[in-house]
Amino acid sequence: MPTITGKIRDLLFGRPFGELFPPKANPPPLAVDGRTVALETLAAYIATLDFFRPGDTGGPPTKFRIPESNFHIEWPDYVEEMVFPSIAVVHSRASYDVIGLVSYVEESTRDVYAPGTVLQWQAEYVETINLEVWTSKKAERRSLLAGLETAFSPTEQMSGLRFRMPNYFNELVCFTLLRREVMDEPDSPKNRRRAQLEMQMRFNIVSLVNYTTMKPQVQVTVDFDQLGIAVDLSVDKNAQQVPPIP
Amino acid sequence: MPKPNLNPRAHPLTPDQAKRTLAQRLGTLGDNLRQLATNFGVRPYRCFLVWTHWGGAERGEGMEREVKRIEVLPTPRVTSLDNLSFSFFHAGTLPVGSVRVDRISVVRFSYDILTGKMVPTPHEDHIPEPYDFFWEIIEDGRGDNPALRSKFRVMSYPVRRAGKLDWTLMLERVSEDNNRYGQSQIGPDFPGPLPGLPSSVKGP
Repeated sequence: MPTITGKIRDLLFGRPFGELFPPKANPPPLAVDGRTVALETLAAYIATLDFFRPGDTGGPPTKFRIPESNFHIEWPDYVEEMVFPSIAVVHSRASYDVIGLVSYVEESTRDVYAPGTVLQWQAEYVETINLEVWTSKKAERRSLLAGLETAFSPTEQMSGLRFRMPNYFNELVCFTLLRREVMDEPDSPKNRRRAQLEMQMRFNIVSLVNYTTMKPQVQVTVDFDQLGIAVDLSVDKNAQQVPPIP
Repeated sequence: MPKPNLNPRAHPLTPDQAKRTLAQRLGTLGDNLRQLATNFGVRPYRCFLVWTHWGGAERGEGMEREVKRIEVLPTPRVTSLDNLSFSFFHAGTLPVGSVRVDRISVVRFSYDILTGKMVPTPHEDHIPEPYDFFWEIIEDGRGDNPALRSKFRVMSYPVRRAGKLDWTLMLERVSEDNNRYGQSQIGPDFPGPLPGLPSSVKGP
């Protein structure tokens, strides 16, 4: 959460989150966005999966894996040649769904990530992504799709795939499989087979902000009347004298 | 309808006659002259015809094993390698493009050999499952040794240029290259990149 100070603070309509007295800067934002953390978590998960390609006739299937280095969250730089099998994330435009009409802080995170801070939920990030699978042969593509389809609903309790993200304030990310497409095209017979798994990715955009505890105070004044006018009880004839305690 | 052929000199050759024509007999001389080009060092790219067999029911299933490899000799001329480029895809770059190979011996090679229709039996209609066929072009070792291996498919009909005593054809770049040691990279996981070599090269 940025700390807004100076003249621009006067122009800002509303009270910035985490503004304290005496002034204290908000914690700086993370260097990595939640989307990247979420997809890195997914890559780490897929890298642990064993896939099985049909083996020699009469023999057992052949096990293989996709290392994290073959999982591309964004287009790799020009120096990287494609290695098979690989997975690439084909992005789409994400949406920020508003969480309620007022701001919300996650009170259980008070002082967890830094003293005097708490997590504030800002929006729910929703993006439909395509996992693009690249293999050299049809058999390998089938094996990958077979493995991935079952890997996206691994828990007893619920459908979909959910992870805590330790690198993003332990927020929860949820992946839900939607559709798939085997994409055969003129390049496919050149040992460049691909397919796409469409899925929805959701997590909360959060920000670490300062907080201070509320300290209610009650001030009672007895030498003002109901109109707020000061009275001098020592000269008020109607004031009753309280006899001194013997 | 064309007019009937009344010229007794105009006739096609029988296969035996065709094999004994001057152009065909000069083929061996042409090959010898081409070998001089190789000796002079102006044919840096060695070309191989490679047949492989997959252990499963279809290509891509089981282990890929090389069953036949024929080097195109004398070393042919490979041109337009500068037409090859690297195209961007979501998961990295892929080589694309095509090359022309000519000065291929008409004595040693036929259409069926150049297009791979010789395995498992000669003169196949098409290469049956689970056999695979590709061309491999490798620099002769004057630069990197072992050199990268590039895999190609036959892109155009091979044409016999009888007047030039050679075959010519176009090849198109395909994936996935064997590693520098000639091993298929499609198969069970290998230990990882070899030290000092590109990440695409996996160990034996």
